[in-house]
Amino acid sequence: MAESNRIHATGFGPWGRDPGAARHALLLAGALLGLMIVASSPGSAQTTPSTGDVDLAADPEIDDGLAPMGGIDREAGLEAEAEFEAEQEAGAVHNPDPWETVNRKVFWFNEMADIYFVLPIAKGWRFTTPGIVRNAVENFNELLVMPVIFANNVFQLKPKNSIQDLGRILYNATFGLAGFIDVATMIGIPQNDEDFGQTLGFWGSPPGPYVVLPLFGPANVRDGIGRVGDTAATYYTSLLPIYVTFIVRGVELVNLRARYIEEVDENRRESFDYYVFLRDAYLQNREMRVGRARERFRPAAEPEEDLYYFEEDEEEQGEGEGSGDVLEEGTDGGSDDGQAER
Amino acid sequence: MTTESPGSSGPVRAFRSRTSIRHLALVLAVVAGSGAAAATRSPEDTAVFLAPPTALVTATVADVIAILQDVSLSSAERRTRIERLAFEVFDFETMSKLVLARNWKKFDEAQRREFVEQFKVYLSRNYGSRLDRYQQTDVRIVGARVEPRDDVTVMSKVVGGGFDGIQLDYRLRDHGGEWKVIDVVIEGVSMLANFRSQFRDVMSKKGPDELLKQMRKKNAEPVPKEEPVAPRAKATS
Repeated sequence: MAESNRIHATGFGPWGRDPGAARHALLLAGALLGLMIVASSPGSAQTTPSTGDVDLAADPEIDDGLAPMGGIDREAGLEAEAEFEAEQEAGAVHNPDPWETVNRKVFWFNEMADIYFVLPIAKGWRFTTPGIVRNAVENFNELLVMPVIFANNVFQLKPKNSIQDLGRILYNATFGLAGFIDVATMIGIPQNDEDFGQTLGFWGSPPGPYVVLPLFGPANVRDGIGRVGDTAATYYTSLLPIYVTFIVRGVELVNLRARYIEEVDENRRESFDYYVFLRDAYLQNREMRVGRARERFRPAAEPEEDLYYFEEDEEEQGEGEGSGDVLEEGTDGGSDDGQAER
Repeated sequence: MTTESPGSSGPVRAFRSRTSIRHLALVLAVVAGSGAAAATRSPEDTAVFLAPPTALVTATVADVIAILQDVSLSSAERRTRIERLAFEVFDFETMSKLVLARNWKKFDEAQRREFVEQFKVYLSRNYGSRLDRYQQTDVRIVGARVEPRDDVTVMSKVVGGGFDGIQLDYRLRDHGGEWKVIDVVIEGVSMLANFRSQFRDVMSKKGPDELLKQMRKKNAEPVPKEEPVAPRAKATS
């Protein structure tokens, strides 16, 4: 909630008086709106920067590249994770959404804003532009956020990834005609996926409660703060005239929304509770991204034991045992290691 | 396989808190290139263990893509064929149990049967209606890992189309020599976990009857005809 206050304080208030602050606010607004839209299509919950990939097959290679720093990374991630797990165990029934009542209201407001304002524009945009233009716009916006990704790879002490990011910027800004063509992907420089929320998670910050920001959509406290950090990394765009920023961000938002029209429609229609659907998808996806930033994978927001081994719980009940969280015992000696690894 | 009741979880917790052992386990797991069973299985055994589920997913994915790209099929035919494949490889009963979790006990025999059936229909219409958009898509299997208690996750990535680079993981469980898919994880978002959260709400406020009623209602709604993506679609102004 703190950030949303901040947005109002620095943004819409001093709009006319201080163009610098207004620019900054617009930037923030654009970035967050974009993220909101992306998060509202969880089936394809890729942010613009991540339309490229984290190549699993190439993972070992990345590890090699990290050789001097990799150990440190893993150690830090590991400790962070130990803390995280301890926390999870402490709160037996962990509720990620203590502010649900307020969140649902804000969510409803966002839905209205999307359905009656953004979505019609996005439909018009897709009706009037050829796919090649939309792709170019996407590429261009990927270039714009590259400094964010670069900065976060630096903060996470990942030299190889940082250099990849610089390479992308150089190639796409020049041979890619200011970003409109993704030359870097063609020559095999991978697109990394990092943001400040992931960096915070990488260094051990817990996600905090789920919060739906007005207009900016799903977040948790950690990632909401992260977005503010990311805005700082694209501050260079505020050197441009304000209307340029406005147009660029507006087009980006509409372009992105246009890409996921059907997905969002279907999810709205088919889910039993779209609010819960979106919340879960957002939280799980963020956990995975943070896990990926730590170079490991944490599949679900829910503790895995609980998700996949309910059956045993039932059998136990049949034997008159009390129910509860099913913990694995290492009868084969291997499963404990499996847990620890996770 | 035995399970521990909450009261006896002390040793496990103590074990977990020892970072050095955790680290060792992690290194072991990484070296073996697999997850849970690293300590008990040699890398060769792990590879052998992972082969059947990986082969199943690879074959199924190839079949699905062949169907998607077969231009001679109408979209209804495409849907039916893919549905048939899906019904073979998914274990809807296990999925239903896991998705309802503790609430499964609140269902009587007839309600359970109906839930499994409704869930199956629901998934089929929910995902089936999207198929036409995935024609440009290819899927590459990128690896597999062993999960705790010998589940297997087969990892894949979407190549091309509007969802290029998306990570798709299939979780499989062995039912007496027959591997079945029990969950699909898209970009870290587990289908099971997501439905579980949605159903939990209904179950805690209402009950099995209400949930089944909602599912019946959803399944009875006609699948809206998708607006074609091409610009020509709308003849307005």
